[in-house]
Amino acid sequence: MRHFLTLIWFLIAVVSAVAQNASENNKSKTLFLAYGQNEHLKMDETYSRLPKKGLVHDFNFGYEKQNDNKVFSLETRFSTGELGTDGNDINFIDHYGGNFKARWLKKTKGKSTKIASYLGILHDVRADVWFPKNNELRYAWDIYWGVGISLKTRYTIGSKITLDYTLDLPLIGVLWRSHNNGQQLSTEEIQLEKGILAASLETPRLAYLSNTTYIDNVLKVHFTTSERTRFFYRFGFTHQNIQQPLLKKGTEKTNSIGFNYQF
Amino acid sequence: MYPFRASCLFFLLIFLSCSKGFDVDTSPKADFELFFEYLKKDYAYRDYHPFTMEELRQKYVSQIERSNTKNTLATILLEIQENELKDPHVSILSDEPYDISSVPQVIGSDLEKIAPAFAEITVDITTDFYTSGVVTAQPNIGYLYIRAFNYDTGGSNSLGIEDGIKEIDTLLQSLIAKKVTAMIVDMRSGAGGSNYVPRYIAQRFIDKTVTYMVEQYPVGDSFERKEWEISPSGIGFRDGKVVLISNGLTASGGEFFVLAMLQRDQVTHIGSTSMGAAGNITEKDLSNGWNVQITNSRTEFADGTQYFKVGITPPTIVKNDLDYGFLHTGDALIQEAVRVLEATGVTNLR
Repeated sequence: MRHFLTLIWFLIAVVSAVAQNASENNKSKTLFLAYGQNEHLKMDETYSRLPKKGLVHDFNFGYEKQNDNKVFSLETRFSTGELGTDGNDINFIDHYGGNFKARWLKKTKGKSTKIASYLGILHDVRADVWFPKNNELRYAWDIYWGVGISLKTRYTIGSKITLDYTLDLPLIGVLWRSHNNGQQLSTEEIQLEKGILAASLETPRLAYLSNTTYIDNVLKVHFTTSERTRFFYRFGFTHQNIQQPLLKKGTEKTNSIGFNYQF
Repeated sequence: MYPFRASCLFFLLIFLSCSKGFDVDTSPKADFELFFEYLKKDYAYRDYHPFTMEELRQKYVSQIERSNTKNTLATILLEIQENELKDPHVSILSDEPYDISSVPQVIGSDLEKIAPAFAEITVDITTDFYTSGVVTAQPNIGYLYIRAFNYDTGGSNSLGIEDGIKEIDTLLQSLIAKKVTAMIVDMRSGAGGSNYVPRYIAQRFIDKTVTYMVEQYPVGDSFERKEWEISPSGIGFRDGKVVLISNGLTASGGEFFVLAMLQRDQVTHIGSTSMGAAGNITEKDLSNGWNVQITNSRTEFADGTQYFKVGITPPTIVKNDLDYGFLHTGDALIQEAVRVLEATGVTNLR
């Protein structure tokens, strides 16, 4: 934790000092792909009042189009792996999570030529599905569809390295959660009679910042390798807090490496 | 520059605030408190005892404070399970051996565990889940023994009806082909099961669409209510008389089956009082590696009548004697079922 904070401040300080010749007013289309490990730490009262942990696979790919002062991006993340309670080897859960985001960003006014900041609209669809391995427990899910704000800041560090920071904050949307208290009742009944889609979308409720919070932070360091290609290191930090019907909260820290192709 | 610095600060604040709150105290006292948190918030029968869960906690908290050991915790949890809650669904699951000899435990009767010997039955088909045939002395009376209500007996893996369970259609078709005019449905000595398997089997006997059970599960401070309905489905025996046999080991999903079958028009229930293991179960984990199994929903008759811990009592009580299965195989329950059917006009037409 302490090392991470040091790294953040180091990046802020160094980037501020060395950022030169930032040039953002170009046109580009980029595809990117990344793979990494996601450190999950979540408590879902559906199953337990103890947090569950796990290191899960994390895949990330997307498309970004930059046109002078505007950025449009489409991005998908998918993570899967096993979560468990420290010290208790009985209850394991298979986790599947993912989201799909679309961002429409516009460059903010600023005097600095070193830094370019963009602010805009976020469209966010995400799902988190848990399958307990214990037969006594039933699966549970959260499906969220909402809109919010997105902030992106880009530093160009010399000609080879750039740093991106993105903050996504969904503000209002719809949340579907399974009726599950460890064992599903009415949801399963609907699934049995009408199918999985009807069951999934059974109980929509209005989700806003105080009852459903998702905050995604991503730091990306790009290393240019050729005119069209760049490698990057990505650190993501996600915070989640869903208040009802049963509390689900936690964090995800992702370390991944990826590849950009500009065309 | 401002948006970047602001966002960095925001990120740091979020990171710092969100990484807290997940530290777990693994002491026996902490697991004691966690256990009571489960009872207070997730236990469906938290309001059905002469004491509140907090009063129960107060009774034992000084004990764990005096001796903050896993052995003391094991003793307390078993004491609560056996002598306080007495809920058949509540249990502590641990692989670790502890000295819990100080806790008096309720020992169930072995008599109820004995499965039928089928001495009065000409057995036709036996599968993992069922035995079917006809009464030897009255071949127009069919007989079906239901061995379990789920593959994972007592489990709640609800949606997947096992293929073996679905074999009931074949068995019933065979009995119908033998022109049986009445049926004995025997479910004694089997354990529980899910909501769906008992209903699936009962659909083969039920003759109308009807609500047979109400289930309620805690959502915060209140309860969400669900009415369970049953309709006829599949190859069924719906017109003739049925005698249903249950006993003291009929529990949980088995009791759901009784609730559904009692909605049938022509049914007579005999045997002995069921276990009263109302509701469904879930497992909650403790930080020390143990799990606690608690009742996370409560079930009742469609009219709201409770059977939690009191069980479902048949109008006619019949039990085998202690020698059954050892010194003789004359089954008092099957004999009584045949007598009931004969008394209601079922005769041998062949």
